[in-house]
Amino acid sequence: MLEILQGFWESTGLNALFQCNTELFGVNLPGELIMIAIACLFLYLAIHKGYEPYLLIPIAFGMLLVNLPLAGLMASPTETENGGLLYYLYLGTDLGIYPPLIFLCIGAGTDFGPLLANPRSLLLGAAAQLGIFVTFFGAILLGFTAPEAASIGIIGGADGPTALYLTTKLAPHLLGAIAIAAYSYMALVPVIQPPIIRLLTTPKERVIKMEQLRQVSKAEKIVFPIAVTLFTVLLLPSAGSLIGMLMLGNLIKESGRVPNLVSAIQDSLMYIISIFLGMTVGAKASAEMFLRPETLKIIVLGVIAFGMGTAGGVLLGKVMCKLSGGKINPMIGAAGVSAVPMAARVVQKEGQKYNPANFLLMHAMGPNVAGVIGSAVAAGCLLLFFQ
Amino acid sequence: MYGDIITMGQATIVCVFSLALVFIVLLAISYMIDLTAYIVRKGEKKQDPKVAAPAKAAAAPAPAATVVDDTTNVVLAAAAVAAYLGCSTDQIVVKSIRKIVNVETSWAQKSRMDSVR
Repeated sequence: MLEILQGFWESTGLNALFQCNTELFGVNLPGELIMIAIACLFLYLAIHKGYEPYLLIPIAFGMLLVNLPLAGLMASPTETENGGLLYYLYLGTDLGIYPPLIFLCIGAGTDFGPLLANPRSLLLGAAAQLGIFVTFFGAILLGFTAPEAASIGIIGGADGPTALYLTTKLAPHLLGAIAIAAYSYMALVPVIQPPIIRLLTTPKERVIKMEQLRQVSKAEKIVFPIAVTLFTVLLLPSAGSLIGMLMLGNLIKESGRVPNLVSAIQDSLMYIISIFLGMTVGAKASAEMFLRPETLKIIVLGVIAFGMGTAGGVLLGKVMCKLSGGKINPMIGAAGVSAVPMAARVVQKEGQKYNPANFLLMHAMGPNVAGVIGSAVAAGCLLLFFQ
Repeated sequence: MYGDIITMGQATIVCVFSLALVFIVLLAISYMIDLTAYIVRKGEKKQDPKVAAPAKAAAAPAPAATVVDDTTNVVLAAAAVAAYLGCSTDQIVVKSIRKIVNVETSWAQKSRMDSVR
């Protein structure tokens, strides 16, 4: 009887949960148990604090499921047995299907009007990609391989799907850590950006009121996604999946001919893909892959990437302010990191702190959506070098 | 193009080339937008003379417009303003109600609504 009970206990996940089989800094730890605790912390932050709940709930639950010992949800198929559920769902991430589909949904929900009304704001979106390359350099110095450094650097683009897409192509073993760093910092944009904006701008610059943007015609909005796709993908084919899907989604919206498709993409498809993407990304955060010294380095490099991206945008904003004779508020450069529309809302709030009659949101939306295109182009460049 | 291990020199090349390419692509897109706007405006100007004539004709009867009974609108506006200010409608005098043509983008409207709250 005792042997039966002992056999039963050894076959349960509970027994395996308390095994100290994960080594971190030379100490053996119960890795799965720690990861389950981290997953529960993320669930708390998502549900109770409301930090990026649409993504953090599936990510945290994916993390929870994959760390349940013996459940085999991420197990590869063998000759005799099928793989785990998450293994098959993860193929959508691994094969680069979900991130471009998310881009399709983002495109269908994006208004490029502010960008079309002020095309030079695209340059602010380009300057904010500085964080990607500075971090890439830093990661190389810290001993990461080039593809790993590129995947870490892309966190600076502040664009979740782009970061996931590039990481699955270049360094899939870092997917869990990079996804968690990227989405955590995106939720923390209102905390990270304001001090950097204040540090780099003068009170006089912060109160600058910008002229109202011109109205953009429907024809311009329809031509834009087609022209951008043709030009960018012909120049940089490796950015084709992301740019193509983003612009397809936008063309579907701007055409005005298929409202049912727009509604399906903006609502149902977006949420369905978010669940699959989030769950499978979380499933890559197993104890053996996540509890490593590299994860800490990625988290530190991630915040540097965000900070440098913000600084790059604001500094170019200052240059444009000088060149335009004080007509451009340099704070809008901070919105050049994608994080749509969070970064633009931060600029709006900061602007109103110094001048309550200042409405910068639509001006900041230009660099904000430019940042989405910029980070996709930067990802294409890195794929060109390292794929 | 490059392997897993690269030198600092190669890393610098990657950074400079990629950042330059991002700037060039986005700058080119910005000029493409200018070109599109120019072509669209030129097309609109060509169509304008045809549109202007009927617009003038339609505008003519405007001075003879009849006075509309706005009582319901006045009551609703007064009630909404009173509710927002937390006072009685007796303290509010509605002098005129004008419909403002909406020329703002949805982002601008959202920011205005946020700042009112």
